[in-house]
Amino acid sequence: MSFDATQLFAYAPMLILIGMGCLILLAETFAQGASRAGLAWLGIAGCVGALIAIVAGWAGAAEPTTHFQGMLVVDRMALFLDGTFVAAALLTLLFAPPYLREQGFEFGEFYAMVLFATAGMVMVIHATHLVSLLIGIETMSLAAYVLTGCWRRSLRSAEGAIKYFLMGAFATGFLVYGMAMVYGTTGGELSYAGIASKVPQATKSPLFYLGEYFILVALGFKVAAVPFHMWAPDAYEGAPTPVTGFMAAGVKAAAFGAIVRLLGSAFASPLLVFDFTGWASVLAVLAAATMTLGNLAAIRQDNVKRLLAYSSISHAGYLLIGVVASGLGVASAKPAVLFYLASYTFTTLGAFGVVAWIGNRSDERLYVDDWAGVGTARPAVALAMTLFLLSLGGVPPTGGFFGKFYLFRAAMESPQLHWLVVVAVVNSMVSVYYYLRVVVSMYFRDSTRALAPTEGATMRLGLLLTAIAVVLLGIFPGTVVEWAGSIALK
Amino acid sequence: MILGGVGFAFALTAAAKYLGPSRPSAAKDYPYECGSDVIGSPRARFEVKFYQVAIVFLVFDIETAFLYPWALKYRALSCLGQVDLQTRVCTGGVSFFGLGEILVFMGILIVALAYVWRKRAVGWE
Repeated sequence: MSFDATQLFAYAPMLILIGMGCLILLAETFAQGASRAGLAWLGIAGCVGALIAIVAGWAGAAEPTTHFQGMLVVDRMALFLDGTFVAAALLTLLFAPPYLREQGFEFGEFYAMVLFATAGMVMVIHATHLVSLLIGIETMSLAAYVLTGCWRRSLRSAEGAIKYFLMGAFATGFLVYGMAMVYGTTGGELSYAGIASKVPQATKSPLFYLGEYFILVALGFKVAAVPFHMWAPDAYEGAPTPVTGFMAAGVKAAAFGAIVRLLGSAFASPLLVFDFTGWASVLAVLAAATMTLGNLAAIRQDNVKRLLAYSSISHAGYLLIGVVASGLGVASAKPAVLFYLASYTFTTLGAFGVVAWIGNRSDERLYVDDWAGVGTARPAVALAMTLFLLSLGGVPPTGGFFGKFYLFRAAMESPQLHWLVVVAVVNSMVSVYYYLRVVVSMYFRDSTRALAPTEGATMRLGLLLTAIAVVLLGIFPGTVVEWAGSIALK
Repeated sequence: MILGGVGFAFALTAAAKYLGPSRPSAAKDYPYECGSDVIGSPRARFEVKFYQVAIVFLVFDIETAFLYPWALKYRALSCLGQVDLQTRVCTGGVSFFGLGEILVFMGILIVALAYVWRKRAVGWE
C-alpha cells in the first residue's frame, strides 16, 4: 500500500475548505445567541486561504498529475475553475450575512454549507474517475439542497428545496445507473482513461451507449439543460437570493467542468462523438433547445429572480455549443467555455447580489415594476446592475461580450455548427430585450414607493468586486483566456 | 406442464370461489385481522425527533460499518512492503497510513458528534 502524504498538498484548496467548514460548525455551536458575523469572516478567511493555495499550486500544475490511483488529477483547467468556484463562494459569503440578518435566519451552518458545496465542486472538477465524480457531485448537491431550503419560514424555499432534492436524487440515480452500465460493458473500468481505452470493445454493446447517455442526462440535470431544466426556476426562485446566485454560478460551472472533462477524455473517442447518435449531434440539438426555451420563457417573466433563473438556463445552452465544438475538434473551444464560465459566474453572482440587496424583510421587491426609480435613488447600484445585465446579454464593454465572442468564434471554426451559431446570435438579441426591461424600469420610470434596501458593508464590497471583475474581464479578456488556454493545448 | 400448472391454480381459486359458502360479516371485512381497533389515520404527523435520531444513528452506524473492513486490512495498511501470506509478517517498515487514515475519518465524525451534542440533538427532550 503506497501512500505519499505530499500528494495531499496538491489538494490543499479542498482540504482548507473542508477544514474551515468543520471549524465553523464547531464555532456555531458555541455562538448560541450571539451574532454570527464572525463565522462569515471565518468562511471568508477559508476562501482566501484556498485562493492562495490555488495560486501557489498554479506553477506546478503545468503538466497534469494524477493522484490516488488515478482518482483525481491536478491540472490548469481544474485550478482555473477552482479559482472561479472559490471566488464564487467568497462573494456569496460577502452577500449573504446582511441578507440573512435582514431575513432573520443567520445560522453558522449556512457558511459551512457554502464551503462544503465549494469543496464538492473542487472535487468534481479534479475527478478523473466516475466514483470520485459521484462523490464530488453528491457533496456539492447535498449542501446545495440544504442551502436552498435553509430559509425555514419561507414556504417557497421549502418547495424549491423539495423539488431540487427530488430531481437531484433522480439525477443521481441516472448517474449511478449509467456508471453501472459503463462498468459492465467496459469490463470493469470506471476511470476516464480506462473507459477511453475500452471504448472499441464496449461499443459492441448498446448498453454502453445507454450508460454514456445516462451519465450525460445526470449532468444535464445539474446544468439545467432542456429538457432537464424543470426544477431550476422553482428552486432558484425559492432559494435565498445569495444562494440562488451561488447555485446558478457555482453548481452549473462545476457540472460543466465535469462535462468538459468527461467528454474530453472518457467519451472522446470518434466512435462516440460523430455519427447521427453521437453526443455531438445530440448536445447540439439540446443546446439549441436550451437557449431558445430559456429565452422564450424569460421574456414572459415579471419576477426578476425567475427572469434570471430562465436566463441562466439559456446560458447553459450557449455553453453547450462550446462543449460540442470542443468535441468536434476545435482547439479554442475549451478555453472559450472556461472563460465563459468565469465571466458568467461573476456576472450572475453580481446580478443576484443586487436582487438580494434591493429587498427587505417585509418587501422583497422582486417584480420588474418594483425596480422603478432605482436609477435616481441609488445610481451606483443601478449602474452595477446595468453592467451585469448588459454582460449577461453580451454587450461590449463587459466580460459577457467576450465570453460569447470566444464561444461563437470557436463554434464558427466547425462548419457543422454554423446553424447553431445563428440560433445563438438570434437568441442573444432576444435576451437583450428582457435584460433591458429591468434597466428601463430602473432608469426611465418613477418610483412608486420608497426604497429600503438591505444595507451592509460586505454587500457593497461584494457588488464592487463583482462589478470590477466583470469590467476587467471585458478589458483584459486575453490574459484570462491565456490562463484558460494553457489548459486546452494539453 | 406450464398450462397444467396455471390451469390447476385457476381451477382451485375458482373452486374456492364458487363451491365454498360465502357469509360476509362486518368483522370479516375489517382491514386488520389481529383484533385491535383502528385508532386513527395512518397518515399522522411524526415528531421531527424521530428523523433526528435516525440521521444521527445513520452517521455512526456507517462509521462502525467502515471500521470492520479497515480492521481487517489494518496489517496491510500499516506495512510499507508486502505482508507474507503464510506467516502474516510484514516485510519492510511500518507505515502510519492506516492509523492516520482512520484517525482523520474518526476526527471528522467527532466533529459531527460534537456538533449534534452541542446542538442538543442527542437527548430526547
